[in-house]
This record gives sequence, structure tokens and C-alpha cells, in this order.
Amino acid sequence: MALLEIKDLHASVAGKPILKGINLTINFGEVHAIMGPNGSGKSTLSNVLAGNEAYEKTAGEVLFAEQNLDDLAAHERACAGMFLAFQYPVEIPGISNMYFLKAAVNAVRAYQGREQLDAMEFLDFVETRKKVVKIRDDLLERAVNSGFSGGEKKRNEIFQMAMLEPKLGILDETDSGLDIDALRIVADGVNALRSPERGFLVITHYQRLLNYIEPDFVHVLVHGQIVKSGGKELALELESEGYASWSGEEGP
Amino acid sequence: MEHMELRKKAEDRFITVGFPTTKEELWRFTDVSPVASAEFSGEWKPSSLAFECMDTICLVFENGRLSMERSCVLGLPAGVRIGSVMDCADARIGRLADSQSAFVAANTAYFGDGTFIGIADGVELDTPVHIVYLADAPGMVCHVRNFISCGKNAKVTVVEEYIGPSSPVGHPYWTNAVTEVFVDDGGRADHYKIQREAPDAFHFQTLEAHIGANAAFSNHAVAVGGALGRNDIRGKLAGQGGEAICNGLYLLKERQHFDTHMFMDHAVSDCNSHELYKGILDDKARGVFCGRILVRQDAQRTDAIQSNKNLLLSRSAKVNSLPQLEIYADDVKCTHGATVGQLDEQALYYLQTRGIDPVQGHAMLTFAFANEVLDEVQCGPAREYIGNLVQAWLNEVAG
Amino acid sequence: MKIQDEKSFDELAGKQYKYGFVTDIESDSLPPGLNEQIVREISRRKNEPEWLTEWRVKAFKHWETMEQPTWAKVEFPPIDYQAISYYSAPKQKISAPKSLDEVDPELLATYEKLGIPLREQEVLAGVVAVDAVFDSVSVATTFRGKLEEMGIVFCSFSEAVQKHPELVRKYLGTVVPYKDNYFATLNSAVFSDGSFCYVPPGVRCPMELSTYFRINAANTGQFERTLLVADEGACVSYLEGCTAPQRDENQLHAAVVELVALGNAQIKYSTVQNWYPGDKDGRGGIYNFVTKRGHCRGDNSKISWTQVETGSAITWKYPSCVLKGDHSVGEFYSVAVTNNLQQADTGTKMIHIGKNTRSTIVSKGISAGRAQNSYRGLVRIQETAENARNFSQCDSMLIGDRCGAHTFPYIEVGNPTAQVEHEATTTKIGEDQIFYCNQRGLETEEAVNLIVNGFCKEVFRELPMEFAVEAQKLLGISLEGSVG
Repeated sequence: MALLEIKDLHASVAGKPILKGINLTINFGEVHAIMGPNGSGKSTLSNVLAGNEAYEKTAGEVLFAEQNLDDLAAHERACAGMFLAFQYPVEIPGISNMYFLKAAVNAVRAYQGREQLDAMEFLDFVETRKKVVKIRDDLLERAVNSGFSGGEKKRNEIFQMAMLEPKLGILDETDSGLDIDALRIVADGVNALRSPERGFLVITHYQRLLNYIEPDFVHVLVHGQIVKSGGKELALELESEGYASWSGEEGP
Repeated sequence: MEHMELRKKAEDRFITVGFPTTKEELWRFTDVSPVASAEFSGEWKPSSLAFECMDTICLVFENGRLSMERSCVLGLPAGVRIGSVMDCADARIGRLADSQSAFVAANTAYFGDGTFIGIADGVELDTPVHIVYLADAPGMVCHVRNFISCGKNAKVTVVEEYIGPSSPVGHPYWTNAVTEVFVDDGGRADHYKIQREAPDAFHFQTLEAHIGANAAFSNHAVAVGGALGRNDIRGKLAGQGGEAICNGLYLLKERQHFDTHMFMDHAVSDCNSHELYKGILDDKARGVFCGRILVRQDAQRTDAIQSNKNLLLSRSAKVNSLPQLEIYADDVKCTHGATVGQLDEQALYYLQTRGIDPVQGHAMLTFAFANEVLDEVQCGPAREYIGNLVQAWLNEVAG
Repeated sequence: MKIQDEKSFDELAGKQYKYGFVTDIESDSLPPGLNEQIVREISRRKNEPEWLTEWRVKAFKHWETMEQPTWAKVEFPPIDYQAISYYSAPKQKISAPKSLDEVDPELLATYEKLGIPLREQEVLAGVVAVDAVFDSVSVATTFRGKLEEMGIVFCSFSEAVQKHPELVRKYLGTVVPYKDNYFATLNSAVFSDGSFCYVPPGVRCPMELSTYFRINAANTGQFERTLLVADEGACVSYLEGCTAPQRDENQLHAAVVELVALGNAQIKYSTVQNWYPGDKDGRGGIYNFVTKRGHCRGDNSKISWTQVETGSAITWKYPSCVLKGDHSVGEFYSVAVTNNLQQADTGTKMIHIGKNTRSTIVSKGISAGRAQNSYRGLVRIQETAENARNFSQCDSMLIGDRCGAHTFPYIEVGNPTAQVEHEATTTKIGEDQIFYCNQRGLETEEAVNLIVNGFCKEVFRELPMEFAVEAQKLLGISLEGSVG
């Protein structure tokens, strides 16, 4: 069984076609990287997969663990094991990170028919996950992403991923705006979560992140289509040659 | 009886000016004719209402009368006096609340009881004082008067709570309260007001605070009860280095009408004032917020921030927001803002991607909206108490 | 920052208002006073149809029952409405000039002096058509031929009453009814002239239309009335400028402007108001009590007000938009400058009725000397206004510590899908900013000018090019002497 199967996916934003036929299969345990220049449709892909209603899927089919995504609302996709680490995590003043995480963890558990965690069990669970992805206690007490620095927000996303233990982690330009130290911490967190039961889709503009999170496959997305796929060496190729050779003629 | 002259003057004024009408700018959005035309001939009776004691010093009033049996004011430290306002001889009573409106005039003329809290210079009372006003006598008027004196470098926390039955009393009662607070130089008074009167009650209160040099005053007002109500909150920053925080939350449903008029007078330089008012309105409720910051000519280096945010949950709810700045000094930092809107779609989506369904997400974000005010509450027991109250209200509205 | 000493204040005050001259011209005036006879006489002299005479009389009778409003934050002694002359027309040899050649050369010279040449070939290289109103009467309208070819009617109000009575009757008082408010009602009774414009369906007016108002005669009030209609899909940009001579007495200006935008129509209305503000002690100056309102009647219509208010002793005006059509848009961009003893209470009203209506308010108030400057604005979202949006930004700047800046927004929301945001800030010019400019070689006055212009940029960029330049200069003149 494939973890994620994308077949001829088309999508548009505000009536404007962005994705024009994406085909991609991710198996359990694999890490796929999608690279592409600005405006190629990278963020659209992650938002369509996560179920953002501002993005409209116009054609094609996406199967997530053999389940058709069309049948699932955004929260159901999350509960079924899809996690999106946002490029711009949303600030929610008034809700503490801990409260938020407890609500999310229990929502996922309820969907999967597992028992709810009470306050004590939840705290214990937080402690075990803190060993995987390091996060400062004061960030957990503060309101969700409110007043966090760029690096803190990204780290908070990865911590949430560690808490929710998804089948598929989608990282949407998680490296943007991070300095080298923050990048390393985030990458360490992701690497710690790599397992045969889990896949990753790493979306990025730069090869840099892939030095730390080594992908099994690299795909190049230009003008809403995957124009080339290969191994991790493709990322290095891109780094030296840039996207120029694809952004011109080969696009529609 | 003391204050004879004061009462006589106030009565004359009440009779001359009468109840305000919507033609007056200050009362444009609040029609008090239901109060003006109602008959209040109800008889006093003891109250059968229960309340949750906050494990503090506690004064309990039944339909406007102090009940020593239900109160607990034992073992007060030296320099702390708490009791009935009728036993208080402080000449400053009536100095702040000087018949500004018919409601204050009526209160001054007719108040029958209330709370007096006196904290001597340098005394810090760490235990909050919980004042509970229980009201359930049909057709009664409770003119209650509170006087709080916080001495130099003294400290006090007061929670004023107005409680009515959860169902209508039939013939509405009218609570008409006035609270005067003096915070002397270097003092700190934290004041909380929780209003959860009966669904058909009238509730009016004027709070006047006089804030000395380097003194701090805070007020958090939460309103969930009553059919028609209004808070007039007026602070005067009279000494340099003073600080005032006035926050509030109004949670309204059905046909409730609640009005908050906030006035902050920056009379001298180097003072700060912050106001954050939030409203959540459902059904046919109507909320009014008018906040006025006055920065007088001498009040250089004033820092004043005012914000009013409203969330409408229903098509028939309505809100009026009037955040006002009146500034006569040039070296000041003053901002105000007001918003009316819905929950943030982006935040709702974010919650969804974390597995939280839209209904729960909605509830969480609504609570978060109110929580911004609760976060500012410093007093632990008060924060927990108010938090539960807000949660209960939200559950009721959602259910 | 030091306030300049009295002597240099005097020096500056004298040169501040460069439009303060009086034109020596004979005028045909009615004696001071106001009664039904006067109202009928104004109407008779203008040879108006009976319906209009009766409309005026109705307005007058209603006005007699009204009281002058007191809610604005302005103070002035009671106005003696019986001491004002309600009609003053420059006497001309021939009763109505058929071409500019017949206009009194003194009048033409006056407009030259004001920088408003009426000779068509000179009018800003042919991009602006001008209607000039002198005291109460329109004296000349340029570029009529060219506009007529496109079906655009642009003429004085009196002429429109004679030539296009059906249009006037259809729209007059439909935006600002004669009972609207004290000053608008007075205007409805005694208005003498003004501009009229009608742009037919689908026509985009090829040039800026402009009216220039000038009060000349003493003891007269000016009560002009402007009516501008943009029919389905029409588009027009309109400019308005005002000046008056320097006199010790206060003069009353109570104008009414009505705008009507039908479906898909767009109207842009820009004002540079530079009436005589009075001297530094507050003697003289114009009382500017103006009612301006636009109706976005049709879907997708848009009305945009831009105003730069530097003159007048007292300004009382709230150019407003009633957003009735679905998807209609209202905008208000304002700079109000008060110096010395000037008082301004100005702002806007945005009434959202239609679905998906949008409004934007940007107000910049600058107060110097002993002046008082208030923003007063209403945003009302009615129950029917699904998905309405408003954003308001009101910033005040204080120069000196004897002036006042005030903000009085009124927000009323009756629809849960609305989003309304209001923000206001008050600041002074930072001494560090001035020092920075000084250090780069700018004099303090220049620095203030620069900073204030930057503060107002968002509004100035909404003005047509010619006006933007003039507005910047005016700002400098108005603030002269406010800092030392």
C-alpha cells in the first residue's frame, strides 16, 4: 500500500490554475523533496493536500493510505495522519500552546478510536516528546505562536508533529527564514521522527535543508508540473545550475 | 444620620434632572425608560441565593443589606477596616461620585448600605476581599454604595460580585451601585467587578477612581447578566507616575443590552492608562462601548492605549463602539483601536490541520477571544472564577 | 521645540494668506435679512420654476423650526442670520455672459490673480474644465463645447435649472433632503448658484472638471449647491477650490454637494479648501459649514472623497457615502490642518446598506498654535450589508503644546459578517526627526514641512497631480510660524 498517491492533480486559486497535472507516489518510510522556484505551485500543493478551502482541486485524484482525500475535511485528514508544517504558522492569541496541543492530541486519538489522555498522562507524553524535539517550556505556556520568533514558530511546528505522530509529514518551506542553528535543530527533530511507518514530503526552494534532511527522491516542480525526478544528487545539480533551464521553454 | 447635606443636594439634583434620555450624547445608545417608568415598591426579604466563596475575606449583602451571618471578616490584620459603609465617617464619600448622572444622584440620596474598605498607609492586604451582592427580591431597588480607601504604599484587592437568580424574578429589581476608590500615592488597588444579575434585572454602576502619584489602579469588569445595564467607569490620574488599567468583557445574549462608558482623565504628566474591552454578542443582544481618553494640557509624556474588540455571533446582534481621544498635550503616545468581526478563518484552518473539527475550533477561538482579557487578570482566584464563568456562558450559547 | 516669539509670528501672519485681496467690483445684492420674501425674491431673480420656489420655501419654513447643532467640538459666537445678505451677484453690463469676452475684465483679472485663468486656451493645457463661482453666482464655465459633444452637461446650477430642469428636478434633494440638517436646510432655502454636472451612461469624462469658489463681497454668505450625477457606467473626476478675501468679520459659507453614482459609475471628488482662516488672534475668517454626501445607488459604483482642508476659521464638514448598491465602494481621504485659532471638526460617514460594500477612511489631522482639530466619523453596517468591510485610519499630529487633537469615531455594526477596523494614533513631530533633518542641512521650518508632508502622503497621492502640488504648498503656508 502506498502512503500517498497523487494522480494527475490539478488545482487553482481564486480561479487561476496553479497545479497542472501532478503525479507522485510516496511509500511508507520514504522522504521525498519537492524543489521549485517561487510561484511554481509548491505551497499550493501542500495546501491542497491539507484541505485548505481557499485552494480548489479541479481534477485528478489523491489517495492517502488508500483513502480518497475528497472524502475528508481538513481536520479529518489531520486525524487520519497527515500533518502540514506551515510556511507561516498562524498566531492564535488567547490559547496556550499546551491547551491547544492537548485538544489536538485528543481529537486525533478520538478519531483513531484510542483513549483520551487526561491531564497527567498528557504531561507525561509531552515530556517524552520533548526528548525527541527540544522546545523551551516557556514556549509551551505561551499562546500559540503569538510573539514567537520565526525560528521558534518552526520549531513549534516540528514539536506539534512529534506530538501528533502523523503517517505523513509535509514540511512547507520550513527552512525559510531560519539561520543555520535553527535549521539544524529543526532538521534534527525531523530526522528523529523518520521511521519505516512514516513518510515525508519536504517542500523547499533551496538545497540547503536537504543537507540535513537527506531525501530518498527529489522532484522538480515548475509551472505546476513535475518536470524532473531523481535521487538526492538532483538537488545538488539544481544548486549549481539553478532553475533557469526549466522555467523558460519547458513550462506551458 | 451622616451625610445629610450631601444626600439632600443629590436628591434635589435627581428630582431636577430626572433620568437621562437618548437625546443626551452620553445616553444616545441606551434607553433607560424601562427603569424610569418601572415601579419599585418591592419589599425587602432575605435572599435565598447561594454563592461560591472564593476562600477570601467575604462580605455578603442580601437585597442590599449586609448580612453579618453570611459574611466572614474575622482576623483582619492591623490597619485594615472592612465593614458597612453606614459606619464609615470618611469625609471623602461623595467627593468623586458627585451626582454626575441621575443614577449617581439617586444613589447618593438614597443609599441604604454598602461596603467600606480602609487600608492604612503602608499596609498590604494580600487576601482578596470578596463582596457579594445577592439580589432576588422582586421590584426592589438596591442603592448600594461602596467606598474603598487604599492608603499610601498600601495594597488591596477587591472583587465586587452582583448575583441574581438564573431565571427571571418576574417583577424586575434594580441594582444602582456606586463605588468610589481612592488610591493614595504609591498605593495599589486591584478591583474586579462581576455582574451576573437576574436575566430581567436592571443593573447600573458608576465606579470612580482617584489615582495618586506612583499609584496603580486596575479594574476588570465582566458582565453576563441583567436585561439592561450600564457601567460607568471613570478614572482620574491625579499624580505623576500613576497607572490605570481598565479591562472588560461583556458576554450578551437574547435581548440583553449592556453599555460601558469608560472615561480616563490624564490630569498630570507621566501617567499610563491601558484599556482592553471585548464583547461577544449573540441573539438580539446589543453592546455599547464608549471609551474616552482625555489628555489635559499638562499631561505630557502620557502613554494611553485603548482597544475595543467585538465578536458578533448572530445576525440580529448589534454593537456600537465609540473609542475617543481628546488630546491637549503634544508629547504623548496615544492610540486606540476598535474592531468588529468574525473569527479568523486562517486560525480556524490551522486548528483543523491539527485535527480539531470546525465546531470545536469555533468554540476554542471564541474562548481565546475572551481569554485575552482573562490573561490580564493578576489575581489567581479571580482569574479562575471568571474563567469558569466565561466557559459556562460559552457552553450555554453553543448548546 | 521653541515656539517662535510674538514678533516673528506677526511678520509671518501678514504674509500667510496670499488670496486675501478684495476685488473692486460693483455687485447687485439683496439687503441683509432672511424671511420668506427674501427666499421668494432669490428664486424670482433667478427666474426659477414654481416647484423650485416652493421647495425653497418649504425648506425655509422647516429651517425656522430648527436649532443650530451644538454637538461639534467647535466654539463660536452666535451667528446673526438676519445680518447676512443672502444674494450678491457681480453686476454685469449684459445680464448673462454668452462668452468669456462679455465677462467683466475685473472678474477675469481676479481669477488670474488666484491662478485660475478662465480663458480656455490657458486652462492648464486643456485638461481641466472650470466653472467659476464669484460670491453667489457662477461667472464662467470653460470647455463647454467639447464636453457637450460627449453629452456631458457641465454648467452653473442656475443654467441647469433653465436648460435641464428635468435632470435637476429628478436628483435635487435626493441625496441631501431639504430637512437634512440646519445648514443644509438653510442652503436649500437660499442657495444662489453652484455647479451642475451630468455624465451620461457609459461616458468617461475626458478631463478633470473643476469649480472655483470665491467669496468677495462683505457681509454676504455663500450658499452654493453642487449636484453631480454619473449615470450607468459613467466616470468623472471633479475638483473644487475655494478662496476668500481677508476681512475682520466672519463670513458664513454653507454649501451642499450631492453626488449620485448609478450602476458601475465612478465619481472622484477632490477639494482643496483654502478659505480665509482669520488672523492669528482669530479675528475674521470663514465659517465653513458644509454638507457633502454621495449615494452609490447602483451595484459596483464608487465614490471617492479627497479633501485638503487648510483654511476657514471653523470647518464643519463630513463628506459621506451611502453605499446602497451591492459591491459599491466608498472612500474618504482627508488632510485637515489647523493653526492659530482655527477649529476643525471634520470626518465622514460611511453607511453600508448593500452586500459586499467596502469603505476606506484615511484621515490626517495636524494641529498647531492654539487650534483644535477633531476627526468625527461614523461607520454604520446595516443588517442588510452582508460581508461589508471598513478600514479606518485616523492619525493626528500636534505641533506645539497649546493645541488639541481629538478623535471621535462612531462604529455601529448590525451584521455578523462585517469586518470593521478602526485605528488611531496621536504623535508629535519627533525632535530627533527634526534634528536629523537639521543635521542634513534643512532648516527647522523646512524639516517640519517635509515631515508633515510625509505624514500626509497617503492622502496627497489620491489627489490629481496639479492639486497635489498645490496642496503641499498650502500645507507649508498654513503651518508657517508654528515652530521656531
